[in-house]
Amino acid sequence: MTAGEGELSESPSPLVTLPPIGTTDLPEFVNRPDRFGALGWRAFVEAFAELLRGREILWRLIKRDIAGRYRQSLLGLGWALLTPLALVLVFLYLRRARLIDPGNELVVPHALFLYAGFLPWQLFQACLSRTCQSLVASANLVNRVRFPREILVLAAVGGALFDFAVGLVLLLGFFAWFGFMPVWTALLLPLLVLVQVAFSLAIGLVISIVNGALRDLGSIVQLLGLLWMLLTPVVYVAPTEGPGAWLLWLNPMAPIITAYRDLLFAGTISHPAPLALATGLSLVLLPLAWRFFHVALPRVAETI
Amino acid sequence: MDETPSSAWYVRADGLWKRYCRTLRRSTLLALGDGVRQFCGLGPPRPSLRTDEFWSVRDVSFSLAAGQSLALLGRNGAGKSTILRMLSGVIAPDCGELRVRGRLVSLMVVGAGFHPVLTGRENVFIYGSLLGLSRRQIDERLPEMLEFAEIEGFLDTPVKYYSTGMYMRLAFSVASFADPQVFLLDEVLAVGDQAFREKCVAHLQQLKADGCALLIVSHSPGYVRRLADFGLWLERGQPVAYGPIDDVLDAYMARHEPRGEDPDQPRPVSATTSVTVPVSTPPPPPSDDDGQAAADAPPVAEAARLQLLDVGEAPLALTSGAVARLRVAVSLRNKLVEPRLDVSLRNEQGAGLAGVILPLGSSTDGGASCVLDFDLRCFTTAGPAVLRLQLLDRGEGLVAETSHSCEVSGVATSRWQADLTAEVELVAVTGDAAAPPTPAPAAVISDDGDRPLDRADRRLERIEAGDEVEVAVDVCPIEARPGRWQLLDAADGVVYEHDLGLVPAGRAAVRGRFRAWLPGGSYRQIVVIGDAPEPSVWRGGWCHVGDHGEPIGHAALAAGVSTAFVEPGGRHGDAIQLLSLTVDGESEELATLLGGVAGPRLVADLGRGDVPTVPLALGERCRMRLRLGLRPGLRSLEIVLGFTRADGHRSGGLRIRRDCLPRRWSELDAEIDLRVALAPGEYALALAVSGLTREGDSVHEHRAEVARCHVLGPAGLEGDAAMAVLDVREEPGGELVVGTEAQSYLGAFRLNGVDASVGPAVLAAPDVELTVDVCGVRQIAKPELKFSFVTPGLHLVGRAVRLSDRFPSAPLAAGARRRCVLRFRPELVGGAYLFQLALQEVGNGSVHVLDRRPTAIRCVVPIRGASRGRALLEGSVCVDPWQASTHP
Repeated sequence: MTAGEGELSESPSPLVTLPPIGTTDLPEFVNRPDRFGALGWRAFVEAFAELLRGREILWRLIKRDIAGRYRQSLLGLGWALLTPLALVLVFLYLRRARLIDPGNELVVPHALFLYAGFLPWQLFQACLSRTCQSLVASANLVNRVRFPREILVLAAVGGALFDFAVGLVLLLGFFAWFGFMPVWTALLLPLLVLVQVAFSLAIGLVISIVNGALRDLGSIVQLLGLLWMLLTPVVYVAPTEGPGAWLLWLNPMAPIITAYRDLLFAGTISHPAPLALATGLSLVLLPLAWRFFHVALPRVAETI
Repeated sequence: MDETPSSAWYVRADGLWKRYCRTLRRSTLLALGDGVRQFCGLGPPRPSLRTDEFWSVRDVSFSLAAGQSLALLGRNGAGKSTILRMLSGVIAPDCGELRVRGRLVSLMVVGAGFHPVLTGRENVFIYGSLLGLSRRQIDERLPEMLEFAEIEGFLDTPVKYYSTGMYMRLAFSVASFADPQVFLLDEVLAVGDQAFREKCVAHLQQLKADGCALLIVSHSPGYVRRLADFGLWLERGQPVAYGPIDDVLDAYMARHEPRGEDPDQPRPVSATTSVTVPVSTPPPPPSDDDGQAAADAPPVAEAARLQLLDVGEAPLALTSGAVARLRVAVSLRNKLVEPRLDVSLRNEQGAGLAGVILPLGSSTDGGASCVLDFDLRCFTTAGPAVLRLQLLDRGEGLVAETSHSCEVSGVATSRWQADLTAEVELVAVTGDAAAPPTPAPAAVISDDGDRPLDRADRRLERIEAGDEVEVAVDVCPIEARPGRWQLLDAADGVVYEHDLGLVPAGRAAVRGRFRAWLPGGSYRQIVVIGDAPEPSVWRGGWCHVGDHGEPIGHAALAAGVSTAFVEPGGRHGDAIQLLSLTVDGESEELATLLGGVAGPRLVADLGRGDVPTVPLALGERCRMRLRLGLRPGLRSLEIVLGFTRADGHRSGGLRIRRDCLPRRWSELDAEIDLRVALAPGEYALALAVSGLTREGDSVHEHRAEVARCHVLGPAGLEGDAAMAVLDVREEPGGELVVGTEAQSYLGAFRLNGVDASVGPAVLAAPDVELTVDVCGVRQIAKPELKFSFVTPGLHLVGRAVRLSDRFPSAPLAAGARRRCVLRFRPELVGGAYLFQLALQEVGNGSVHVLDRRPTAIRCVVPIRGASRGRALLEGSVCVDPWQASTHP
């Protein structure tokens, strides 16, 4: 009768390097009535840091929107091109039928001229209509999940940018078709897109909130979009002199759309002062709109 | 012991108010208006009701610590979801404050963020990123999630073809594998099928056990009872009751159960209710618009009368923690709609201490009168208070009001934490007088820290080894919780623990007796109320154990064990007799304790006094000798030894069968080598013998308690695990009986040679050596160790690391110990951490935690110098938040 040996001694196992561990304490979340009461630099820095942490969400949502839009449609990506192409064709017909006259002498083929205007305008219009619906369309998310919800607005803009990028490829096709070379300044286009996106985003952040509360805004945006396009030199060359010409340049989109053509065809900015004004305006409006979004969303979320 | 983090709570709500508007158009305009107003820097709008608005949530407070769960109860529209939405941060309260610490995951609408055209897999990635998971984390967890959701075959199907149940499965799996530290669930379990719901409940319980705080809204009482610790019952946004789930749920069910009386019927006149509502320190109470309130409120003077009965003019005497039964007479003059009596106890500053809302029925005629009995309990500091009674009509109209001054006596308890006060008194029942006075050692007088000694510290209890001692503990916990009285040695190891059972809420005196099988020396007494992770610990005075008492062991045995035997002639007689029982142990510790007696620790023979007690040490090898007297004519014999806990739970034992053919009265010696694998505590050792005669007649089994075993745990080994088995090398024919509720132990462990109970360990070198002893109580088929580093604020640093491929995962036999030495390299930045270790078992797809160390080793990682390659063994300065010290 001997006592059994139940113990087991293990030799040290080989050295293993474990995945790196950082000290990331989760921040404390405080919810109170004046949660976004603090005005100032800090609030923006915090909001921006939160946005940075949510970049993975942004990427996923953009992909989701694009895939969701094109996966169950026949034309797929073609839709991104159809609208500007159709508009170009209509205007070419109108000119051929001598119903309209572009007036000034164009240095580029008329179709190219029209397309270079419609493409950025389409970006702007898509930004407006999509951001307007962004919160309402994801009411479940807005209402139930805590994440930086401006990402929904950003994702709407991202989807519009994707269409724009597809349209740019076609623009290159147009250039090739007409045997025309863009000027080197075309490389500066991204800067211009940035200004335009900042401007659209500022409007989008506000209207997405307002549309959450008042659904009339969807129709209003449609109507205003049309009027705005007519007041913007999209299908015509902006007049430089005339009784009300200066008024046209107060519209921030006018210098931006004109600048697209300038960068593509001319190589010089024909109206630098209004463009600088539009840029400044966008940069001032964007943080203000962002802050409005933050402050108003907890109030409006319950009515979405 | 003292380094419990100050911020133990994970969720805390203080006086939440939230209003909503009844009409849609006005609500949108108000919301926009508020938004613009706040944008202009005018601050949040005044918390008062405007036209068409009502309070959806009013004055709700609660708190929730890690590992706790709270259920929100109430009918539809009671404000439960509003609270969850405020918690998740999507809407802001109008008044009050909410704090959440830790990763919050809310699962409120199943499939929020799912896009119908995308496949299940794509949606998992979207939903996971919304919950804060990175792509890599989702990739890692995807197999687990899918295995849990059981929808592998449909993973690449667009989710528009999913059924609601499949949506729910997928959403629940993603959310619950997103490492939630605070998990909000709003009625999502209602969707799945029964089997999956059971799986979810089990998973949620596991999450809770891992330290996740749960907030549940469910209308299924069964799940609520199984998942929640606490309940908060809301009626029209107002808390009616808040407390342990069973109490609250019972009260709620009694009110809303269909088979009960119609809730709209008037209550019986002498109804008694005993729900206690801890009322928060109220925010400035939001008032209705003045004009409207004036219009609504009927004239106060003549409408009704309230009178507190059985109380004279003198201040009402209340004791903190005690239940006071009060009676109030209500007589109404006018007809009232849904009248209710709002009773609140407030202190001098106007802060609410306790309150009850007593509904009087749907409508009451004028001239009616009734007497209401109710119970009130408060937890507060001693001092004056005011009991206010308000009779309210529907629409908050105040009908009548009266107040009475009170005087609260008792002990201080905080509102949220079971802040503990205790008095411990030890009374030696036996043996005290014989002991010569022992001079108190110096250690008793001076505490090790510079903390001033309070009264309790000065008290010196002196007992002698082997004394039977009565311990009287006077505690005042805020709610009924299990309690323990413990003796700690100099290294804060628990050397003795006495279970006080479930200590009732309020002031309670608990008594218990134990025999002090302790080596001489000084011990610290502590009283622990509640369980991990948030026990309330009260450090009491010292207890000095002298070593002049009666030697332990060599005690006499009580009733003999005999077995009736019917002889062929019809005469009765003893067939088998237990003649003696001896236990020899190997434990040197216990040998010292016994005064150097190395011989038999327990000798028991028939016909003498009490049941002897034998001290045993956990893990000790000992030899038990039984001497039996046998009657001639027996063919076989069966001996069953059983260890039973004080609560009657069978912990384990041994069965031995023997063939024998004694021709005459003879004696049989049976020797059993066993290793003690019983959880520390008291056990009754019962012996049952039975046999068969040559003729095949059975000899009736006779069972008797032959000894009591007192199992001492080695320092550092927690005594709360319920485990028991004997690892036995028994005679041929023996059979091992394993207890059913067997668990396992994680033994003491060392980091870089530093014991877990001593600490802190300094992880100066890049590599760390971890030495763990694991003691399997039942067989563990696939053991696994998991460890994690935790910051002082209880945040997990990085993720928990499983050692499945490093810890030898061979089956661990019952009762066997395994020592495991692991070397690894934690990439930690400089700082102080808690090191948590858990023993798990992997079994058919799920992982069960068998044991974890709640008090873990503290380790300090030196701040790295400029050269990374050099091991900073010497001269590194460590910052230890508990005791700032410089390690050489």
